[in-house]
Amino acid sequence: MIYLRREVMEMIECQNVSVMYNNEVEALKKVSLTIMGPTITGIIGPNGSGKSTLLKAILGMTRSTGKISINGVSSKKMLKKIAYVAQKNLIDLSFPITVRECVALGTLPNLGLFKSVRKEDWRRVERALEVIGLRKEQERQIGALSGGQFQRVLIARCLVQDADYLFLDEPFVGIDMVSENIIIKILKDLKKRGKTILIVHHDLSKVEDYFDQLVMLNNKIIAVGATSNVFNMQNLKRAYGENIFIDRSE
Amino acid sequence: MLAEFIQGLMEFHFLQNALITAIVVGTVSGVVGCFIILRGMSLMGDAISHAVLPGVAIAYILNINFFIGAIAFGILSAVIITYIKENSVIKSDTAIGITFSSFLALGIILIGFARTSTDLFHILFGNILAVQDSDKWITIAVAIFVVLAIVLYFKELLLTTFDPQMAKALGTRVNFYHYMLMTLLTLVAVTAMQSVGTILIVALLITPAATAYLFTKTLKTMIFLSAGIGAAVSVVGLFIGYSYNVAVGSSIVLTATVVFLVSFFVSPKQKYIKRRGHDG
Repeated sequence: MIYLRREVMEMIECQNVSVMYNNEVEALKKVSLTIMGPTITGIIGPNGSGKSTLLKAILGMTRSTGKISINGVSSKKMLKKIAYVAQKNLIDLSFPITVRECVALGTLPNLGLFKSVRKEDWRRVERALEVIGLRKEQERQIGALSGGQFQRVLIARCLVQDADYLFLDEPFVGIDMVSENIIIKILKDLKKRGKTILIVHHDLSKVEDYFDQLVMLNNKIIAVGATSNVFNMQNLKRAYGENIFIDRSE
Repeated sequence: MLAEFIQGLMEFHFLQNALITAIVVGTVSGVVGCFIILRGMSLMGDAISHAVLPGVAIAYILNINFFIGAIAFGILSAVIITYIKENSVIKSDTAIGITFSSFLALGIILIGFARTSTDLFHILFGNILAVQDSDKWITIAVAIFVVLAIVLYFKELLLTTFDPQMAKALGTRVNFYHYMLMTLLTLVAVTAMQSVGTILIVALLITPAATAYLFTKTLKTMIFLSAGIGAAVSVVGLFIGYSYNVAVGSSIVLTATVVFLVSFFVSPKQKYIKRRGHDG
C-alpha cells in the first residue's frame, strides 16, 4: 500500500483541564499537555487515573473546565475529524447488525441528514474490510465474531470515517495476539498517512513497542513526552506506587 | 368460524374499521417496538403507555383532542423519568415504577371527573370493535407520521441505539433522538389504546419485536418482520375475540405471546434446543 505523507503538523492542546464527577471526585486535575502529530500516543496510568476521562473531555462527552483545542480550534468544532472507539464491552454484541453495516457507520459523519450510504461508500467499506482481513465475514452478525475480530471491525469503521484523529479506549483488552498485531500494524500505517492516534492503554509490557509518545496520568499529569523520556521507573512509581512490576516476558 | 368472520367483515362497518385499525396499530407498534427493546427501554414503554391516561382524561374535561393531552403527559413522564435517573442515585426501574403508577392513579381519578361516555374499562383494556371512522383515520395518519419519521431518521436512530458513545463523540444530539423516540412511542401508545388498551399496550410494542429479534441479523429485517408479526397477531387476535366473544385486546396479546413462545424454542439465534442438547 502506498501512502502519501502529510506534512501538516497536527496538535492537540489541553490547558488546565479539570473534570469533576458527582461534584466530589476529581477525575482530572488541571491537566495541561500538548500532543504533536502525526504520532501514536499512549495514555497510561492506574485504574481510575482519568485516562478515558481525558479522551471524553477532549471529545466534549464529559463536562470539563479549562481549554481544549485541536490545531488552535476548539475541540468541539473538530468532532467530525475525530474517530472514537469506546471500550468494546459498552457495545451490545447481540444487536442485529452485520459486520458490513457496522463498518458503514463510519460513513455517517460525512453524510447529510436524510441521506443514505452511497455506492462509493460501500466500496470504501469493502476496502476497509479487506485491510482488516474480515471481508469474508462481512455478512455475519457482529455477535458471531471473536473479541479480536470485533475490535478489528471497529478499527475498520475508523478507516472508513477517514478522520484525522483516532481516539481508541483500551483497544487491546481481551483480544488475541493475531488481532492485536493486525491492529497495531494498521495504526502504524495510519500514522504514516498523517493520522494522530491516542490510545488509552493499561498493559505496560508493550508500551515501548507501540507508542511514540506517552501521557502518564494519575488524575494529574505525571509526565508527558517521548516514550523513551517518560517511560522510566521513577515516573512509573509516581503514577502506580512503589510496587510496580513490568512483565516483558512476552 | 372463519367464514362467519369474513361474512361479518363484508357486512359490518364496525368490523372493517376494527380490522384496519388492528393491522395499522400492530404494524406501527412492531416498528417502534424494535427500537424500544434494543435500547433496553421496555419498561419505559410500559410507563409511557400508562402515563398517557391522565392526559386523555384532561383532554376530555377540556373538550380538546385526546391526542394532545396524551402526548403532553407521555412526554412529561419521559422527562420526569429521565430527570430522576440522571440527577439522583435512584435507578431507572425505580424511577419508572414511581412515575407510571402515580400517573395511572391520577388518570383513573381524572377519568371519574371527566364525565365522559368513554368507559374507563375500555381505555384500560381497549375496545377495537367500537372504533369510529374518525379514530381509524387518525390512527392511519399517526402511523404514517411515525413510520415516516423512522424512515427519515433511520441512520441516526440506528447509531444512537447501537453505539451511543460514538454518536456522542460525533456531537450527535443523543437526547434529541431519545425524546423523539419517546414522542413516537407516545403516539403509538395512544393509537394502540383503542385496540389493546393502556394496560396491554406494552405487549404489542415488545412481543412482536422480541420475536423478530430471535430471527434476524439486521435492524431493517427485524423492523419488517416485527411489523408483519404485529399486524398478523392483531388480525388473528381480532378474529379470535370476535368469533369466541372474548376481549379482543387480550386475544391479540395472547396470540403474540404464543408466537413468541414457539419462536423462542425454534429460533436458530436462540439456539435453545442446541444448547439444551449440549447441556444434557
